[in-house]
Amino acid sequence: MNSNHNTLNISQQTLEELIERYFDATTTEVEEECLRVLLESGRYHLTAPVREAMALMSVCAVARSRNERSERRNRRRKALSIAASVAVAAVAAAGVIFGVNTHPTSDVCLARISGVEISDPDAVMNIMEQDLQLMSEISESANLENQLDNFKSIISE
Amino acid sequence: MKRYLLLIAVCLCALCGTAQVAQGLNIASALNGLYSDAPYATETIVSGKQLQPYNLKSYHSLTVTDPAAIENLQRMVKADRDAALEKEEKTVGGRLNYAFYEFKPGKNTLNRFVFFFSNKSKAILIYMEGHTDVQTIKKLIKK
Repeated sequence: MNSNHNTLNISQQTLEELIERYFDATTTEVEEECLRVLLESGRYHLTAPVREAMALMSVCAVARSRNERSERRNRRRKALSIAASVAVAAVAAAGVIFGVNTHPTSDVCLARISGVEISDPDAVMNIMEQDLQLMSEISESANLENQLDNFKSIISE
Repeated sequence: MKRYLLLIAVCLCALCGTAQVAQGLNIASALNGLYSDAPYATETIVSGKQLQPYNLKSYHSLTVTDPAAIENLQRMVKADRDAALEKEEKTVGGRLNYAFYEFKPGKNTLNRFVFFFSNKSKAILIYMEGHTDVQTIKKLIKK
């Protein structure tokens, strides 16, 4: 498109006629684009209509440039917003996936006796062994009693 | 901004939620600090490399000697009974004297086991998690 515009070459008179039509608002969009390219080329005498057209077109260009900048900024903000949302969601997902799986394997070894914390691993493991030993005795005793109860019920039948 | 706050809240909830043991069970509150500072309670929390010889990932025990706490643990354990996949129980006069339950794995896919003993003077609750089975757990306590 730009290469086509660069090859545009019309006389000063045709240019000024085009400008006149431009001011009369009878130009098409394509003609306006061509006019803008021709004025930017700097190949024409800066007569009064040319200057006026250049002034008007440059105002339009600035406005367009502002709009584009604003749009770019909005697009960047939107992209940042999406990226931030994705990042936070990823952290949340990581919390759910890895947090659940890593918590039990994280090294913790502590006991609290009447609210007093004990962190000596040997002492804590000793308490744990005692608990398991006690539970072992209780379990065996319960099983024996259950078996005895079953035996009694069979005899009574 | 609201979207960020919501996501951060979700994130925090997820992270906080992971710090709980026995999630989804009635005994969870007892194991997650209900009696931590009680003068009549002894609590043991072990996880990680110390449990490697036992093939467990997490061990949590609670012993209480207060009558009200004993009753509370009784209620909690009884409330979890129906959710157990495997159970061994002994009741005396309608009270749970001994119980062993296996529960279906939680979110972390670890098998969950509960031992409970209670008499008039004390109650002991043991909660264990690991990639192990009932037989191994029973052998563990009968060593």
